[in-house]
Amino acid sequence: MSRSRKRRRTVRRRPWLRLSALLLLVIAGWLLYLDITVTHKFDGRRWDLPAQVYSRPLELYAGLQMPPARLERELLRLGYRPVRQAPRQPGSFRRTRRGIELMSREFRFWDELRPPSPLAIEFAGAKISRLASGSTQFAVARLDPLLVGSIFPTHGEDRLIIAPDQTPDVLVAALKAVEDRRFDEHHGVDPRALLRAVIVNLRSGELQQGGSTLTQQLVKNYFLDNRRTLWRKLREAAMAIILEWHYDKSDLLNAYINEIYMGQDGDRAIHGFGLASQFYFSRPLNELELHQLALLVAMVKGPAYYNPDRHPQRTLERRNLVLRVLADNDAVTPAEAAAAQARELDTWDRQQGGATYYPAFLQLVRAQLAEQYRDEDLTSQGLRVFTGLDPLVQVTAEARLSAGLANLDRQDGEAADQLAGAVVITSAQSGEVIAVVGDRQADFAGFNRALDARRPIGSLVKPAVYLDALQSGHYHLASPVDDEPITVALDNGDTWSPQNYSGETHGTVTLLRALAESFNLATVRLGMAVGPVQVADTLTAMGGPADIRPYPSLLLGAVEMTPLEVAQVYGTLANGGFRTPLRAVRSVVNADGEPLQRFPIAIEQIADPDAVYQLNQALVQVLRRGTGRSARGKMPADLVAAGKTGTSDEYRDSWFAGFTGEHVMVVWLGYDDNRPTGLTGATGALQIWAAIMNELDSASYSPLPPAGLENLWVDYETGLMARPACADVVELALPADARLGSKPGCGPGLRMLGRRARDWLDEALN
Amino acid sequence: MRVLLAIAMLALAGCTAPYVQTAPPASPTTAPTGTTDGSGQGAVVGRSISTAGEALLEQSRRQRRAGEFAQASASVERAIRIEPDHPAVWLELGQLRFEQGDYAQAEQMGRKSMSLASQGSVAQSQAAQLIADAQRAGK
Repeated sequence: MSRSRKRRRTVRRRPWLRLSALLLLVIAGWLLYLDITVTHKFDGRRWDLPAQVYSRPLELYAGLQMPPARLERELLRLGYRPVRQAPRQPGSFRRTRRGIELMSREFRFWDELRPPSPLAIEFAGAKISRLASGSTQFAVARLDPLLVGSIFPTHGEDRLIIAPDQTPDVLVAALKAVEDRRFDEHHGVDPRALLRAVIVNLRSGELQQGGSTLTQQLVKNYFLDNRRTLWRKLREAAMAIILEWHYDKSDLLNAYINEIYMGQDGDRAIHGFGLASQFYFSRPLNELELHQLALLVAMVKGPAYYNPDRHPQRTLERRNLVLRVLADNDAVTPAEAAAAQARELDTWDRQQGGATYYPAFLQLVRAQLAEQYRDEDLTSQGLRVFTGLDPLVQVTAEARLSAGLANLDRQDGEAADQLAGAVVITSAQSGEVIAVVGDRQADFAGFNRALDARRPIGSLVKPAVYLDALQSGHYHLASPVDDEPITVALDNGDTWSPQNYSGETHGTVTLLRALAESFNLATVRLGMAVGPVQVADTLTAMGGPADIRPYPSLLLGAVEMTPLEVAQVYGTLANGGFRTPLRAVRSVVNADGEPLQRFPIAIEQIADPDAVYQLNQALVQVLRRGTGRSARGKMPADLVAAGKTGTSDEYRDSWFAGFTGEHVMVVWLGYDDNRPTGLTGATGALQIWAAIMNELDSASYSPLPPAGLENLWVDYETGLMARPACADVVELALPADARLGSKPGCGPGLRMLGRRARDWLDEALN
Repeated sequence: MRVLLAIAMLALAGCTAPYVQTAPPASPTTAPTGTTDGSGQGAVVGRSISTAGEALLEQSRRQRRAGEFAQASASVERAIRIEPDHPAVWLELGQLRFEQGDYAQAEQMGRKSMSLASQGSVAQSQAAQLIADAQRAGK
């Protein structure tokens, strides 16, 4: 600002000159202040790149269960454009008689840069049968992952930075033609446009034309202040001139393209054309077609007023106006403009395709990265974060949870819209978190119950008790235990006399039945035999919190956990006793694509595989004949799943945690203020669990029986050996040295007893 | 420097296939593919691994030989996601961890592989070998 600081030493004697000198000084000071403010903002923003977060890339391979229609949906979700001829443009595909042909986009995976590459996918029924490109056959091909969000600062501005060379020429031409015709000539403000605006506005008596240059609009976006005062206009104009004085036109245009406000998505503000392109079309900016680019330019004037979802008609009209102006300015031919005008708005159907922004999952990503990265690195360094999120699973979980909660609200008329819920789904063996829902309103980054709601787990604790009993060597799954009243003396001199949920007792039962039907008395007896300290240690080792207090009441679930922690605990069971720390993030690369960090699979065996295998058989029975049997008929009949219901005191929490061979899932329902819900784990959480599982196309839980166990048919009630043809029998793998009696009148024949009988006989004779 | 790196990466990208190619049939495999040990007892035939799983394991081995441990690890993990209950994928990750000097994880992966292998299969004895090696090396 040295130019405006001219010194006038010759004017001492005249007071009005002194006054104007003072005034000049004040103006100079003000300009200096504006200069610092706006250049700081400009330079700051230029480098403020929120970390981009990607879903898992879909891996395609021969044998994968993937009907062509589903792959097509996935491609559309990725913004791939359906075309009629052989796809040549990156990001396009076509259906053929034999399958799907596509041209992938260039994508920098964390471990390789893949150039745009053709791929032909052939199907045999609902499965992929062959992957090839020309004569080269491939075994595995991964699609590009979906951009599922970014880690933006707390002020809520999200953006996806577009470099100048990624900006379509037509976009630049359209912005100039529609918003600022003399952009290349003016110095920040355009007096002629301003004058024209004033005249138009005077004539019509209302504000119709802004007359703001792109630079002025940029400034306005920096300070987002919509008061239309003269003073603010003046400030804006001064700042625009300052910006033009400091920076190139191309820098300013690029900043504009990345800065301009383009709409609102919950508490997230969509800024810039890069993110707007993803948000409205699910496609990168450089792949947009003319009618789509024109729509974005049309929206600049007022993203809420010209919202394609809410006001399609007037938005379409303005888009067509933009196209006409483009043709008038020779940026496109009249024929091109006319063709584009004939197109529909063509925005990505977020309702049908599901949102592409998952705040609850992003909170987990943020939490995992917070251990290694400062918040400002995440929000400004342009990191790229690759996660295990499965968008299809996430969308299913969101939809089923809200539908299930809405259904329960209807049943419980008085409590309108208050019941909260959470879902965590992980991949059973790799420990990757693939979906997180923290609220019924999934697109809102509010209180994330999946990560932050610490609630009593009720009977979800029981598998830890039974695991300890089985590992102690004193019990197997068919061993008897008394489900009879028990009184436990507590350290403080009190006594504790737990009850069954039903209030009834069941006499002598098997461990299998006691767990499947969630009997409290039998569980407390077992738990007191192995000791609450042991149970607390086991629960911690499985992935529960480190500070569990080993009171006897722990045996019935007097311990609080988050749904995520429960998923960790049940993941250990799904993994046959191997704890696999849950991870949301696979790897992180910096803005240049260089790998910064990987979060590899790590495992730790914390339980005896034979004991876990036995335990899981009981958890399978939970869903067949125990407390979870009401889910039968709501999931595919041939799907083998295991799990456990949980209900806390006075029905305050409704839980279901369980797994298949592919997915571990935890569902929690409850009120934030801890009111009773009137729901058990079975009537609440389980129903939603089953509804989600029903849509996942999940693989059955079918582990290899360990060598130390032998399959036997056993009477469910008594645990005595029985013929398979007898009523109420179940096939169990039990320790080879387990001693079982025979069911009177229904005992297995000698032939069936096989080796076991011969061993006993040998033993008896020796 | 960065430019050089970029050129090097482009060159690398240029000479690799965009997708994972099928492993050549003659490639050595750690997966049990129906071989017997010839001792007359006849090792149990394990479940064979899919073409996709084998291709990723083969890619991982290639990367491991080139000293690209991080890439090798990523490739095995892709195989694990595709075929998580096959003993060969966990064995491969365990052998990689062993080579990286992480004997604790090598042993754990061996145990995981063991828990998935059929009784008496080649995979089982390979897992047992890895566990023993890791325990010895970790001492």
